[in-house]
Amino acid sequence: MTSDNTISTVLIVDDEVEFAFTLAQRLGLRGYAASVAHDGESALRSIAEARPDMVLLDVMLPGMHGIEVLRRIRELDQDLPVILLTGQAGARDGIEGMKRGARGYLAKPVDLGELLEFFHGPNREA
Amino acid sequence: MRDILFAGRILASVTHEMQNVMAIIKESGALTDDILSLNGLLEKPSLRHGDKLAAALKNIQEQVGRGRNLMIMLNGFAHAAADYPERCDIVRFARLICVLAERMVKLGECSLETELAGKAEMVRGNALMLMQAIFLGIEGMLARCDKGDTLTVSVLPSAAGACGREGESVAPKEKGLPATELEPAARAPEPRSLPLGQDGRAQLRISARNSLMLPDSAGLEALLAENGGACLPWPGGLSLFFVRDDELAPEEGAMAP
Repeated sequence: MTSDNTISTVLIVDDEVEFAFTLAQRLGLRGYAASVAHDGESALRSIAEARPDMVLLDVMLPGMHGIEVLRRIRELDQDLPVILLTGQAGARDGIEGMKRGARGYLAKPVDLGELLEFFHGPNREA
Repeated sequence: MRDILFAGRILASVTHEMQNVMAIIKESGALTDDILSLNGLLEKPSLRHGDKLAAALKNIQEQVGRGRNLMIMLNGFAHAAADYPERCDIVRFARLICVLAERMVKLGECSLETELAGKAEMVRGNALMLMQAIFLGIEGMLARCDKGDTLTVSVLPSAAGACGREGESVAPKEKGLPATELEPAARAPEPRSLPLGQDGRAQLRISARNSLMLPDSAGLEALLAENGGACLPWPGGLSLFFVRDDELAPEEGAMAP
């Protein structure tokens, strides 16, 4: 994280490979260093190796569910901002995630403008 | 019921997958737009058909938004039977089924509007039954609409449920004519009485300027009666009555989908 407390590195955790890479490229064009992971275990390894400034975490992951990944992230790091990417009926997952310490949640397909607001804004949902 | 739940599970799973497909289309289109914009290519006169490319990229974003809205509603529909088996928010599910019925109304060369900005109104009965009743009501009204007509779906505030004394005559009788013989302009805009026992019930209205639903109501009576409700066709409209569930607050997550 930069000295003015804004985001510079982002980890995108999503099993939809094309989505994750395309979103990473879009963030890259805007000056963010975005990396990707496609399941919970590799995401946790990645966070342990190089803590990002923010994690974008899909709720519906193969194997470990996104909410469980969030719980494990909290064991590693209490303060790491996590934004959940939910399905259309994902309000419940999103609310559950916020109870467990997510900064907020966004329904797919993601609006980049809304996502970027999270990078600087307070906890919210969209 | 087991079959319905199975169908709901499959539908919910597919809508989730479809949103992933749309997310990839959206991001890919937006990335293309990003790259072109960052390089100033779309504004360059040297880029042949640059305007068409920009329009195509805009179309992608708009259609993904449209698809997203449909998927939200379809996903809510898929979860309805399992998540709301005994009571549901009439406002939420009326909004949902109206979006899903838009195509049918459009094919009938009419349009559908909703006035559903009110607060949640919990009624008894499962959400699937409620949506089926509304859909059948729209379908029945549509069959008797003039082309170009607009159907409006609204939920009356609870206090407005009582609009007449039980058994009191409805508007057509005032004119001395059966409803079917009234000219559209002469039809009353709303009913003056309620079906027996429906005073104070939650009321959903489907209205159209030139529509007159026949009393058989496409099997609506039987469907609603199973859950203590009723329907009332009236000149220019149809009212569906549902048993309010005042004891229950709207469930968590029952906000508009």
